[in-house]
Amino acid sequence: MSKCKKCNLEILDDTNQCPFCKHVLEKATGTEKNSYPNARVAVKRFRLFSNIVLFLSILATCLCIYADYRLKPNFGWSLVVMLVLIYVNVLLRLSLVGKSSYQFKVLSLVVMGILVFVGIDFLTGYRGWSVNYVLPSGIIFIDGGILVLMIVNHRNWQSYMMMQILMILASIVPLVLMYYQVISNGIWTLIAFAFSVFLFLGTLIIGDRRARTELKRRFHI
Amino acid sequence: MSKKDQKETRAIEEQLASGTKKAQKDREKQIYQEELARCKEADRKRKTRLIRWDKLDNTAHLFPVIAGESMSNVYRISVILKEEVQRDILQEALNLVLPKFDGFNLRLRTGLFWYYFEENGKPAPRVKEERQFPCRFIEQSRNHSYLFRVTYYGCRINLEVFHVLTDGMGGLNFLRELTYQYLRLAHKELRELHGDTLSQDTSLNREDSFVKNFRKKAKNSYQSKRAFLIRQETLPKGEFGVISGLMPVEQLKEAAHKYDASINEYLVANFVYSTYQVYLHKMSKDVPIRVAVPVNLRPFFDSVTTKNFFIMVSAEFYPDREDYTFQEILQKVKESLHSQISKEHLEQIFSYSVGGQTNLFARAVPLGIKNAYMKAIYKKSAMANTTTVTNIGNIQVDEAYRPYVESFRAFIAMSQGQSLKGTICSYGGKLVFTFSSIFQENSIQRKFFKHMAEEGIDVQIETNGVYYE
Repeated sequence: MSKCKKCNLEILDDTNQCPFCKHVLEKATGTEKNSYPNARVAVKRFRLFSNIVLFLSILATCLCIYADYRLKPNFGWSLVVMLVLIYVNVLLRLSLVGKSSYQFKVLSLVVMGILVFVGIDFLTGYRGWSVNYVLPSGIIFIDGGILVLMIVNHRNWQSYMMMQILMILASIVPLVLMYYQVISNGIWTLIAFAFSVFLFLGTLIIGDRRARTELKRRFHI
Repeated sequence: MSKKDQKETRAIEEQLASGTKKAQKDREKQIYQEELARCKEADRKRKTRLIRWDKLDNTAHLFPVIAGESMSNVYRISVILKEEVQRDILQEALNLVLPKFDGFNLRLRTGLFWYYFEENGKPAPRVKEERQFPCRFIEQSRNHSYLFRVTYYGCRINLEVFHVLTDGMGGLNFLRELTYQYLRLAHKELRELHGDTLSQDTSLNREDSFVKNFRKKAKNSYQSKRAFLIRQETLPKGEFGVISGLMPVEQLKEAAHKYDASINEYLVANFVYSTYQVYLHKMSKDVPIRVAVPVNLRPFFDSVTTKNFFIMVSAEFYPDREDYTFQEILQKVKESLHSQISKEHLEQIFSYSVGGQTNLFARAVPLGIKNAYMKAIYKKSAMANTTTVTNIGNIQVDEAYRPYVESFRAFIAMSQGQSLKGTICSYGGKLVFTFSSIFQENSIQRKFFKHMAEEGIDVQIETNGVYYE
């Protein structure tokens, strides 16, 4: 066991200096052993990876803006590339580094994807394809995803009911846009709304008591 | 005896020995098969019945709101055995113990108005060797959605618990049973003697003792005036410093009795004294050093719940002079704690927040709004304490397992405004005071332990190595 003469404390760690005053320890015969692992290695590795991802995305974005400026095209294509790069960056961070639930990840990535498409639609002279087709397709895609997840995670199928309710609310947005004639072709909007509603109704009716209890839990006051 | 006879005798002995060994192995196999069948049966029943769910206790409502990477609200209790921990056995022990603890076999779900617990039912979280800093945030999407993690390092088994689940008493309950089960698997003679049943001292009670014992129409008696906050350079993000001081209980008792104080009061006062000594010239006499001391409410209200059931009181000291002695500070800390630790006062403190929770209008407010309100209140009240010193108490281990257990450690994660905290636990005549901190410097810790040494107490120091670089 080592001793710090200055602090008058015995130090159990495998070290030759006092953790408080940094004074050299008076070594005695014994087998000192560190009680904890060197955790700094793990933290540093994680930090290095996330920093590389961040650096590469900034570099790529800057290169695109520079190339666009040099080539002087008709429209700012670099903005389209930039939107895609931001999306790729968020996708990487969220899926690899992010620690939120996969439900949140899927939902936020689809919402962001839709926004990117709407942005591209606007940048390329707005023909409305993003709201007519991409927006309802996104909702249908998530509904389909929920169905697949319910089958895969069959032990906890009822836990996706809140997401189903959220998708019903989300599918009302294109309906409102259709009402205000922002959406000109409404067939996909209606399909998306119907899919969301029937998915929830199906779960509620077929799921019977378990589904009702899930709603009771989620809405308990 | 002829050579032939000797050979025959040896052969018979070997046969008998192998027969005994075989019988022993068969018995072990039978115990394992029985336990496995019981677990499978429980799992089958779980699949066919409705999923169990439960409300959070009054204190727990806050933790999911404020918890994050920088403020994990995770605490750690570790047991140090006299032998190296084997991963596979520990995993098996966890697999066997977890289904018996309804209070740990849970995951946290989000409702429209409240968070709630739901039976988890997934396989037990994977036991891993400790490689990272302690008390990291427990992410809901990982760890099989469990709200605790089990790691090991050398002879130590670590249980890290998200405070939403239970307080130190509940955590200790679980760790003790996990350790007993581990030892029973590692030492067959223990298993044969005790079987795989839980100890008779273990509680599985999950009542909300806050709601059961609160008094209507209570006034707010939470401390919200700002306290002196320790400001220092912090360690790089994600790093966490641990310094434990191991001291003989007898020597501590003697030292505390010299001042007519309990060990807890003596240690809290030493923390205040160390802070006062280190920051003497940076303090304003109007801002107190305030140490939050969690009080276990179970003995006051005859409760054995394994949900959270504690409340914070504060030891307060105003540094209005520059020449306070340790004895004077200890006297002030004692008076401050004594004035607050009475059943009536403790009841009043928690009744106010439980009253809010039971109010129908408040209940019907959507969770997002409740969370924003709770966050704001927490931010305000968090600045009311300089630090927290929590005492797990003297840990008891069943006699049969004592020869295998060396000691215990416990510490808590940081919270807003409090980047240095202390945790006390004792076992087998040794008390361990552990400082957990994210500060680069350890001047308060140094002052604290140096003062103990000056008081004639033998102090042994153990760290997690962050202060050597």
